[in-house]
Amino acid sequence: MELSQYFATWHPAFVHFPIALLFVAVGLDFYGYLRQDEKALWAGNALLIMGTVGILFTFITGNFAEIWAARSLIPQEPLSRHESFATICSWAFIALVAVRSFLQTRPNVNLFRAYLVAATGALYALYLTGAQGGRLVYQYAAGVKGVEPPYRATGLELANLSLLNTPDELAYSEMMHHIFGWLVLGLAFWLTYQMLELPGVERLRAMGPILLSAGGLFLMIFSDFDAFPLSNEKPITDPEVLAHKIIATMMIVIGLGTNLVRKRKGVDVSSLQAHLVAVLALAGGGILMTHVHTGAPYSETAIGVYLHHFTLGTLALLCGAVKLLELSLPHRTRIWNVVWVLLLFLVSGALIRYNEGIPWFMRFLS
Amino acid sequence: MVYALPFIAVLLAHGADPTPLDWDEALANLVKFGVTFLLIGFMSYPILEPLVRDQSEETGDLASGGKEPSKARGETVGWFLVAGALVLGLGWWLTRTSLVEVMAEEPVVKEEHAHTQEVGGQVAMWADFHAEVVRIESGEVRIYLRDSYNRDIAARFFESEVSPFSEENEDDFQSTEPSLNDSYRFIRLSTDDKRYRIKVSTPGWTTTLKFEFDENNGRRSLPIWCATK
Repeated sequence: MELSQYFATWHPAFVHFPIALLFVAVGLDFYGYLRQDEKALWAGNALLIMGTVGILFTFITGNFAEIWAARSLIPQEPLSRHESFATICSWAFIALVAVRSFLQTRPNVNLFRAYLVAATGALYALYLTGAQGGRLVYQYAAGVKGVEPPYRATGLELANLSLLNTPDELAYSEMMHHIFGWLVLGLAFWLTYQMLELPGVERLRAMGPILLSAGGLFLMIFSDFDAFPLSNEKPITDPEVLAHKIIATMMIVIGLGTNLVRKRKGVDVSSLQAHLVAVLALAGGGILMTHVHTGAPYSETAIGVYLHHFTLGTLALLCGAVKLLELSLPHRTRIWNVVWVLLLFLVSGALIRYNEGIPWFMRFLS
Repeated sequence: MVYALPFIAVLLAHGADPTPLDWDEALANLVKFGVTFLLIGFMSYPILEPLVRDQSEETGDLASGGKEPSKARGETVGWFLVAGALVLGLGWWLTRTSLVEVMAEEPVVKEEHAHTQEVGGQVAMWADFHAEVVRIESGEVRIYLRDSYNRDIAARFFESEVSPFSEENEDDFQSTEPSLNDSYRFIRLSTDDKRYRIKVSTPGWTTTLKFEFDENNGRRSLPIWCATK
């Protein structure tokens, strides 16, 4: 069995975790709100975080399942609809985790009520996603072995499946990942320098945010050679282009904001900064794991890209977890800082060694 | 810095080619985009809030040292404007393109049913498939499959069997192999066989087509030889 086919078999197993965890999480939040039960609220928050991480892993295993469903010639329209609903519900729960974690430190009754209403809506989106996924199996026989698909694959769909990336496209994508690997390496060294409090640290403090903003501006222009401003071939609504432009905007805005705050004396924002980085790591992990490849969606290249994103997304979520630990166990800040920098070195290494295809560190399995 | 604002507006005020976008895809895009920027705004505000507070309320001075408070405040407002313009520009770009795509009618792409030969063989069509069969003088038969727009379908997505055809004998179908570049399926038969029945199977469809070469009605075999005749 191919590696990606093996990961595809995880999708029907993983899908139960977010469904169970998130329904119980919101149920506990309702209970905790009505009975003013702190323990129920704490458990609701913990389950919400676990369920949302579960959604992201379910999403990326779903990408593998999509590849194999398409190869067994399941029509593309219901696959694409299931994917859209999954995107809506994943991002709704990412937002809810952010709001909920903020409410843990700064309680606000009205905001909590709004959270409960939004969470109910997100649960409905989760139900619809599950229902669409169920239809794919029961109605279209996706993933069912030994049967002919009940709906015929058209010539159009078979021709779409035959599309391949050109060597130019692959080389450009690899180059961009390598450039950003070096940028992350620069940021990791910058943080190490600060952590070790080496001479001239004050002067260097501005470098990180400047590097981040400059990288964001570069990404905004050069993210996709077949999208604006380099070309008009792909619009911003293409999921891949949109993900790149969102990341670019995040980098520019955060770089600007951090440099502005840095100029103020007497403003201690370290805990809030840790909180922000944790949430942004969750968003970054979300972008990586819900990043759907277009152009040649069912090719070997897409399988390799999803495997890389699986690794990078997990590292991003670990970065977020470290920052959350920093908030809950602040007396161990030194350890969290070391782990944080190590994770950044790992991310930079994964980007610098990035290749369009089966990742180099998994080739022995395939 | 102020001069950068129109540049950002121009950079982002660009529309894209309108192609239809399903409502669920448009909604998914807007949720993804909206949530990310809501997160940035929501979580950044407590951190950036001291910047928008009145300068007189601050106990500390500006770390940047020499700058006048009013000048520093102007700089802060300026950078806020740049960041705001960037986010608004991107949001406007996405919304505009999404609306155009959702409201645009499906473009009528002309299907290609002219049965044009791409590689010098004979073309037959059924449903939305085109099959082009080529005979090489060596006796090799190649089967290419395309969709209704004449886009190639890779050999791994269809099966085919070939039988020499004659009125007197029963069909004797033999399997074909995919070519190394996955663009066609092939089999090598006797150089005497010039009439074939070819079965082509895609999931849900199987059809049998008759082809004739080097006769009055058929195409000529291609003179491709890699060895001495």
